[in-house]
Amino acid sequence: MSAPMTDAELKQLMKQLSRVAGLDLSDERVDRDLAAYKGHLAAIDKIRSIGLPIEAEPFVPLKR
Amino acid sequence: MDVTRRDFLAGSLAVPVVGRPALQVPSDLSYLSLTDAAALIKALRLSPVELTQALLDRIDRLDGKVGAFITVTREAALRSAREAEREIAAGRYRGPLHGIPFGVKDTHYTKGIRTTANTPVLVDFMPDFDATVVARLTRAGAVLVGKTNLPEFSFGSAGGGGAFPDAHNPWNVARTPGGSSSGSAAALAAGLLTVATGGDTSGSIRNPATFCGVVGLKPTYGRVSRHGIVVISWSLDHVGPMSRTVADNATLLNAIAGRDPADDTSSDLPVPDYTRALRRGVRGLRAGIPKPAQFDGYHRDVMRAFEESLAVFRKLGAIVKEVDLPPTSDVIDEVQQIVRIAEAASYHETFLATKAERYATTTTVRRDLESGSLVTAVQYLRAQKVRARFVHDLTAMFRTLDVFLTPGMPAPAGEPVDVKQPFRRMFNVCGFPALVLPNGFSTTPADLPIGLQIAAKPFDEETIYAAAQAFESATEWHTQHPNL
Repeated sequence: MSAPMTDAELKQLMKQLSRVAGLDLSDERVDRDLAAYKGHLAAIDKIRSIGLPIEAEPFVPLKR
Repeated sequence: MDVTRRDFLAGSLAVPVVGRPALQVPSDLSYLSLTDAAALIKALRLSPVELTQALLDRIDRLDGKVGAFITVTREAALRSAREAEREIAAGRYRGPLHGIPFGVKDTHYTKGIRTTANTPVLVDFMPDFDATVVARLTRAGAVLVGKTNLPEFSFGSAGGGGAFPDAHNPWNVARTPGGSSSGSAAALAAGLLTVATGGDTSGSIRNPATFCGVVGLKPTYGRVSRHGIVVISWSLDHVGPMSRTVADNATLLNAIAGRDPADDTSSDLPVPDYTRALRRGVRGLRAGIPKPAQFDGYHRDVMRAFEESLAVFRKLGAIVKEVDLPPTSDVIDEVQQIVRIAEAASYHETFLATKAERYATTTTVRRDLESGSLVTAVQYLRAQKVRARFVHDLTAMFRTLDVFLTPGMPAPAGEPVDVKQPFRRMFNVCGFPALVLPNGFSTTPADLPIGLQIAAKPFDEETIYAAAQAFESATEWHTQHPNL
């Protein structure tokens, strides 16, 4: 498992991702958004703890 | 020709109320149920104008304290009520919603009436069509009284606003009414509306319904159209009925459920008459409950009320048994978080690009959306795959159950919460229906409502209503009202 990213690395990543997403967040906005982004990354890490087969599909219709 | 109040009421002499003892018109109409109001209106013993005017007067008197409404549609409401009165007097009674005052969360598009979602981003937004839910209620003859309060863009579980001040809990105005359908729940508890609708993406009908001591249903995903509702997250958003009684809730669902060509995710399964399920009872009903460890951190008063509720169900003949939740339930709030914020960021893409400065600075909505925009497609789809597995797991769990019972919320309004499993977002993730209804009051702090949640298999709202009605009939919690 790789070492956790530092805040500086995360901020750099956020800047780059936001450019790709068309948002181009300012340094000030990145500072404000950092805690929320870390929360999403923590959630994604927790979701990864559930093992899935390669055949797993992302969408299922609801049936009665 | 206009019908006078005297003409309308005089008609009642010719119309007997069949099948029930003579129902009296109460002197105070604030807490009249839809069911009773409909019977009186149909019998020409209560005028829709009288009922609507009484609620408008009460809104004038009390909403400064409660903050349930963003917009009150006074003139339009009185016009609709007069029209209903004329039609009914002329023998053109449309059904149990005819002449009944209702409110909708201010995320529901209303033609020619501002729809703000309580955000400066949409504060001037004037839709040119009605949400399907609004159109269906209007077609049923119901009278729109106003648009109810919410946190900015429905983000958050408290009453905190964006463009307009917060709503307050009528049971204790210093406390939150819950969210995000804050205003609908607060208005019902305060006797300002007969029925209402709300939206539920993370528990936003069930949370405020619990905190305010009213009934709220998140239907099965696809049961009620989402067309014309300001989006949080397409695949998690639900629209549902809110009321003070279970029967009123079922009547309201009858009116708003069903296939809508404008919403491709709406189901074409037939809509039953949900009120027929109310008399079913619960003898032999298989009711699952979580194992005790799942309740770590739950408030003592909530657990006392929950245990007492289980005793009621057992006494009524239900079979209550503990069940194991699937392992996927341990990460289901995180799944909901990623799906919700990624979809929300997509919905808000244009607003963030063009109106980012207009989001309220008093909320965290812009922060949440900007950070959500950075979630990758692979991360989103990973969450969706776990979601699909959870639906499969929960379907398996329900093979031996008819309903699944939990507390409505882990603690009363405004009390601190630190729990492993709140049992709320999981039903948005899987889309199964879940209803909350009042099941007690707290003692510490005093006199705050507590709720019971009843969930069931997809499209089995009838079993939920059967269980809820049996419980409501055996208890008196729904008869309590706040002292405002």
